[in-house]
Amino acid sequence: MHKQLELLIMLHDVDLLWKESQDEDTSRKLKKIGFKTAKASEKIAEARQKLVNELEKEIVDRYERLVKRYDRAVAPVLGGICYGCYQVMPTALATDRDRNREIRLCPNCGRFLYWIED
Amino acid sequence: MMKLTDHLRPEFMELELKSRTKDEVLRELVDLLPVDPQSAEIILETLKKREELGSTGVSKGIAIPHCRSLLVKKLCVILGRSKEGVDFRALDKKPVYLFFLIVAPPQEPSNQYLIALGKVAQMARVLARKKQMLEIEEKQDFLRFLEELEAA
Repeated sequence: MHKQLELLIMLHDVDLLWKESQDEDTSRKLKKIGFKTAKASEKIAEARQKLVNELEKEIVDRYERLVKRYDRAVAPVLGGICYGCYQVMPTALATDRDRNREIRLCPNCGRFLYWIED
Repeated sequence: MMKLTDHLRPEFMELELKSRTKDEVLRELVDLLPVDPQSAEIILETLKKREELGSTGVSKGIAIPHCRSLLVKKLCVILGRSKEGVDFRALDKKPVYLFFLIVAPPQEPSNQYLIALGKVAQMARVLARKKQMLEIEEKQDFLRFLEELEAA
């Protein structure tokens, strides 16, 4: 996996964790289940910043723009379909065996792509 | 109705965890996920960050570490047991013997993630009173035991 893609996925998952910890409805449900969850801590913010520092600036800029537009900036590809916009990937992309070794964008929605093995 | 045991298979279970610390247990559990080693490392980091928001050791000897990750394509449930118990900094400060690791994809539409967490927590309350929790040796038997609990 491309190192920058690895960092992007970590950033995506950390942002998701942050968002869930801020979401009142999810927090209430988790509390009801029995979890005691603090709102996202300074440590999480620090971890996020560290990831941002390691990523190339233009990738971060694009990531932030995509988050503003779509909420989530990285989409998994399953069965040749982008799970961001649910469009089928062009054959050339779908058959490329090294697809996670490069940063790829969905030709339709522009999200960063991560291929999950079928 | 969603059943937790539908997601559990013997290859996703370890009844003899060797770990003695919280980080080691998380690693041992993550290594059972059906993902490549690089993805497992990323998920491990997310799980550690989740633990920083509060321990998922929900007390009575049971912990439910969990997170969402782009790296799994469907809800994954992993079960681990430590007969000696591990200091997981649980809410009741007691050792944890049984671990349910839950990892869900972000795009999952029916929100099975929260349902699974609720089911495990519910099962945990019953399990904590059952001595079989530490006695059953075979994975298939443990799975059957959980299926019976879930059906009750």
